[in-house]
Amino acid sequence: MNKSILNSLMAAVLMWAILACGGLKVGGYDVGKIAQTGANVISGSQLDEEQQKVIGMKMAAIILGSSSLHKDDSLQAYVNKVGSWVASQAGSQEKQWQFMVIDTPDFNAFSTPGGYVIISSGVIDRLSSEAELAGILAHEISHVAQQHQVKAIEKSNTYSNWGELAFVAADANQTRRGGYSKKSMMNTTIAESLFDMTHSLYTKGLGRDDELDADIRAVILTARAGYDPYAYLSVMQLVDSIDNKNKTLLLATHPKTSTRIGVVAETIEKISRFSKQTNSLESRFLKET
Amino acid sequence: MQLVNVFIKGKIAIFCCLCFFSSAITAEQITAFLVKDVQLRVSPSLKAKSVGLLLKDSQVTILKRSGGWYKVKTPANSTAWLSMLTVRFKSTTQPASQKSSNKGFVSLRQGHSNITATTGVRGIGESEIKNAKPDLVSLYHAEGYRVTFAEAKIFAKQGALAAQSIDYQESAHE
Repeated sequence: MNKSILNSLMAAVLMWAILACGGLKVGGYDVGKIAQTGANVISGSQLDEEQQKVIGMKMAAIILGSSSLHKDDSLQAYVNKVGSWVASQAGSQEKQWQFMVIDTPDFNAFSTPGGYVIISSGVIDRLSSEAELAGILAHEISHVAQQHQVKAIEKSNTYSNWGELAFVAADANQTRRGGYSKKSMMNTTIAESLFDMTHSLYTKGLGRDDELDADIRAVILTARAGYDPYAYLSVMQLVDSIDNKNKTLLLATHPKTSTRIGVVAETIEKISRFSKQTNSLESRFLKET
Repeated sequence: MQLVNVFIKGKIAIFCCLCFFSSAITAEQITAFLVKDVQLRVSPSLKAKSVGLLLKDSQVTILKRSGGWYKVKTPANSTAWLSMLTVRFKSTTQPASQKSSNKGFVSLRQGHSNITATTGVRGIGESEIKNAKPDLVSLYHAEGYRVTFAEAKIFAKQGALAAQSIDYQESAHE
């Protein structure tokens, strides 16, 4: 039998099998629902919240795997408190957010769909106040809240096939049991595409407009949470001063820092009359970190 | 993107921004140089008395920040205030917390990145992400650090942080 015909037949059988198990939950995710909504992706629909969470979870795991989760429990708890407070001002859903510190001297932060935010200890070591930390987390929160990564994924058509989405969901069960690997037989193709997509998103970066939009929103979100928005401008100046070898990914994935400083400065000016009661909390930051 | 363009098209007007925020923070003692000739002020305000002109490329040490102003130590060892955007930080490679020369606030930092003690620790680059093995065990472990919005609100209150109503659309299109 011709190989392509065989593949089509297998896909058809798989589709029937998945759709036939309506309500089947694998790893906490509704495979039947994902298969159904996955079919809509073919006609241009968007990834729903559950699909975003699954994909974001796996992308976060890949980024964690490129470094390591920092072992300081109190630091992790502190960053989650700051991040959750800022996220609560973004009109976002509470269950989404998970903040993590990775142990690397690099200056970078990442976020993935579904609300996973990762910040390097190299960032925290260079900051002077809680307001600065809040500003960086606000930038990442804004990427998630505006679904910048999701839109990039949808644009890439990586998950344009309903069967792939179902596989991703099914694979989540395997990964929760610790059995996942890049070479997992059944999911090799999907795993490879996920790796490629993660690699592309976090080494080439989002669009310039998305990054500047996240900067603008970060200023506003920082001020909404009661922090001094000028702290974010200070962070931009800090980024500008860090030796390039410690921010190679950051340089590759963001607009020129001078452009960002201009955008941030002007945003602060525009919101200044709305932002009267702010705090920087440098003492608490120094105590907690 | 329209919202972005609104900001990019306009000239940077931060120099005229006299808004002050209630808190003054101490930044790390960073060396910076002036990007233009700058009038130094006795306090963080354009209306404050000028205490002299410092020329472009002069080096200053940043002592603290208040709103959009830095308090600096000048080459003449005096202190004065200047607008944040009139300086550019001198290039640095090490985190502030690990600079042995730093005094004051930054010397209190413990530091979390094992840069000096572990030679060869690599940062995240293209190859690290491409060759990463997904670490789901750590991801699930990290779920234990999650904080509810209710807990975060208590945390904010402890820091005297008050939520402020700032509409994104209104402020962006002002």
